[in-house]
Amino acid sequence: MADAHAILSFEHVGMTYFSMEDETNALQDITFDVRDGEILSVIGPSGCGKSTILSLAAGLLKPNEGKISLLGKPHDCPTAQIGYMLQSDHLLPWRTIYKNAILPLEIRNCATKDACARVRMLLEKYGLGDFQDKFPRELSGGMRQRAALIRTLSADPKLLLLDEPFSALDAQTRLAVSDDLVHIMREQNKAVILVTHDIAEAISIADRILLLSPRPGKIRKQYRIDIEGSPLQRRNDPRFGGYFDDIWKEVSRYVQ
Amino acid sequence: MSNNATSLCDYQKQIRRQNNSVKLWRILILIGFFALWEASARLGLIDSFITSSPSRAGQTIYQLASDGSLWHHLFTTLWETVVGFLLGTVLGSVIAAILWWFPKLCRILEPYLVVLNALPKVALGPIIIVWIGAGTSAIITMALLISLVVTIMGVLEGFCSVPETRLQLMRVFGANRMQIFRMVVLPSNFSTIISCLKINVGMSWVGVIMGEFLVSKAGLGYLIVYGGQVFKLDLVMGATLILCLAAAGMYALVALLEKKLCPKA
Ligand SMILES: Nc1ncnc2c1ncn2[C@@H]1O[C@H](COP(=O)(O)OP(=O)(O)O)[C@@H](O)[C@H]1O
Ligand SMILES: [Mg+2]
Repeated sequence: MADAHAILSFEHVGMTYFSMEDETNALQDITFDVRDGEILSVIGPSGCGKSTILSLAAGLLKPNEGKISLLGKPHDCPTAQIGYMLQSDHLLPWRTIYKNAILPLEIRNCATKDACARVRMLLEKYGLGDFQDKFPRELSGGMRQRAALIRTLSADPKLLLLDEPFSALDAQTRLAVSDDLVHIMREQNKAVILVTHDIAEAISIADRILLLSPRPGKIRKQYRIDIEGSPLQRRNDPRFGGYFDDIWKEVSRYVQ
Repeated sequence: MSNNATSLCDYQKQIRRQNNSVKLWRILILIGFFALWEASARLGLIDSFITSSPSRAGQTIYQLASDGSLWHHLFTTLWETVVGFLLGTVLGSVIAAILWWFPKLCRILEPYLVVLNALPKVALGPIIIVWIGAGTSAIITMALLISLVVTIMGVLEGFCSVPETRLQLMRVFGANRMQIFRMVVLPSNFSTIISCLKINVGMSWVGVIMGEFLVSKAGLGYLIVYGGQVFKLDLVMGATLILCLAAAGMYALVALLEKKLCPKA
């Protein structure tokens, strides 16, 4: 069943959180996979289990039901194959941008000369060359998010997990930064799972969209987005509105 | 305070004038207080046998200074205080780190910490003296006890307040508990620890003076108690004045250290 090209696959995954008072069934029967170089977006109302999907994909949580495989093998703990990025950049304020970017390498004890040189190259290439030795507070929100992405790329993961990475930014910066980061991810040819609650953002970025139902999250519908180009170009494409209407129709059925 | 400035330069001038006026008043109050005290003593409005007077207290200080005993007493107290607050801060932080490391231990010990925190540590004075002996170590222990529990609670709270998502991120990067502590938890709480140091200076003074009241043969607390017992109020007042200066000076030094070490805090 699992595709040979799949980087990560979920098969009938279910997840329930327990507490002394009650249990929360967060996810039910989730089946999907992500292929090399593909950007998959997961959208759904808040509380439907999007972040839970990412925690499972990161190996931070184990599912109660079903199976998760990474590169064809069972997956149950964090590995260098996976990068993770959140709404807040979580750059450490006492480290310079460069030092922040090589943090995953330091942690895994693989901050070799080559690996560090690669990080420096990435910083240069993506416009942070002059900021390598600056501290996070000296950078704008968009630049910090770019630095956080490069940190995620430093261990050269196969799969990036992004949890609403743009939602802390203001509306204008948000468009520019998503353009910027998507350009980097496409160029580095990474598989990506992008969680968002913004339909337009998902259409402008993803190759494929999974729409989740309200809790317990189930995959309600999948969409393939056949528009080429950067997020800004996609937003100007005549087909953009069609996709938006399709998805919105589906979403509004359970909004009431 | 009114602000009717018409230019930045004007505004700065006004603020500077206000600041200077505040400073001037502070000095005037100080001078006024001592002048009033001295005058009332000289005019016989108050009994200077009981209240002493600035000139008599000054004379006593001068005598103590010239026969060298002032320095002996001052340094005894300073030493005990510094050792007390450094030890309290370091030991408190280490214990907080251990409790962070073992969350279950932390849960088990929580009620004990709360009780220890509520307990007036002075009550332990006699026990300390019996166990440790009536000497410098008993005084330092007293100072240490007073700052220890507060430090543990403050630093532990800091350690536990690192956002869960940040720890999650570190785990995805493959960090183990030691790396999480060394790379994130400890550095994020550097300023918490430094500010505990600042609080502990004050705590430590309380502990040392209490300790000296109970046991000592030297130190400012000893001078105060001794002066009280033999009804030498000049000595009591003189030693108290020196104590004020020393405590303020030490606080200023630690505040300066804080500013140097974490300028953004
Ligand atoms: N650690 C947890 N313990 C208990 N319940 C949780 C936990 N994490 C999330 N939940 C619950 O699971 C549901 C899904 O959460 P989440 O995956 O964060 O949703 P989303 O990211 O889509 O907003 C929510 O109802 C949330 O309250
Ligand atoms: Mg979420």
